Amino acid sequence: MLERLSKILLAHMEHGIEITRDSLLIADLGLNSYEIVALVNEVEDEFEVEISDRELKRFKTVGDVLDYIDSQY
Amino acid sequence: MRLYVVNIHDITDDEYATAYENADTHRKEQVQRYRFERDRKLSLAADMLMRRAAHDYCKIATHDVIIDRASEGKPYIVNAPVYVSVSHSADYAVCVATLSGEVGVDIERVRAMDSEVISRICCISEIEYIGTSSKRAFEVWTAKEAYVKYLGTGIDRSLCQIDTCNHQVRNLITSVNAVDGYAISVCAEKKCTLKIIM
Repeated sequence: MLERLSKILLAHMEHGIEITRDSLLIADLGLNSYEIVALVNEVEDEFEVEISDRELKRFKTVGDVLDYIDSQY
Repeated sequence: MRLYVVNIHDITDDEYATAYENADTHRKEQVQRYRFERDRKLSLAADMLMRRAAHDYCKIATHDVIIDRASEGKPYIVNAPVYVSVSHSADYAVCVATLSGEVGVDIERVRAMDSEVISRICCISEIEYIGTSSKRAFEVWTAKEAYVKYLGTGIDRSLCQIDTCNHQVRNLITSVNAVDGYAISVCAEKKCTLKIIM
């Protein structure tokens, strides 16, 4: 699941870096609030889940996104 | 009301060093956490602009300005009656400052916005307003973000439920053309003359 999510994240990043569960979306991956919103549709399509804007704002790390996706299955 | 705008490449290394010295522990930790130099510079530039605003309005030395954050992360000046809000995107940091009440600001570099993203964040009237214009798409995005920052509540509803074309919200928002290729929106209780300081 991390690999699938990393592929989406990397497409929105300026630099290719190793992504782990602990990676912070803003501090480590350099994403800002718009970029996080912009990539969420792809995450929803890839994993067939729905993510509300309110939920989205709670995501701090890649692990938070993975845990949320996991909780929806 | 003043809008401070700075390109992070126009700030010298010495100025960044001073900004880091002036920064509080929270800001220093934030700066240290950033992996990319650009993000470290943007964070320090935003801090510098808030201190400059407090200095300009209240004549406090920039190193004496005390900055804290409300529960939703919105910064405020503890020892001066200046309301501030900051934002940054790509190469620019901005800070809006006023003595007249809460404010919010957002900046975002304009680029193509995917239609699915527009559908997600916009209501019908905003989608009609945007048409095929990327600039308008980011005008709407920054208006929503500035509005949420002004409220200080964080995202407590779906973004498409914030209708920036509605006159009650629209009356609070000023779109600013200060930098080519960027959309900037300011949200304040009262629309007043905005002095842009580059």
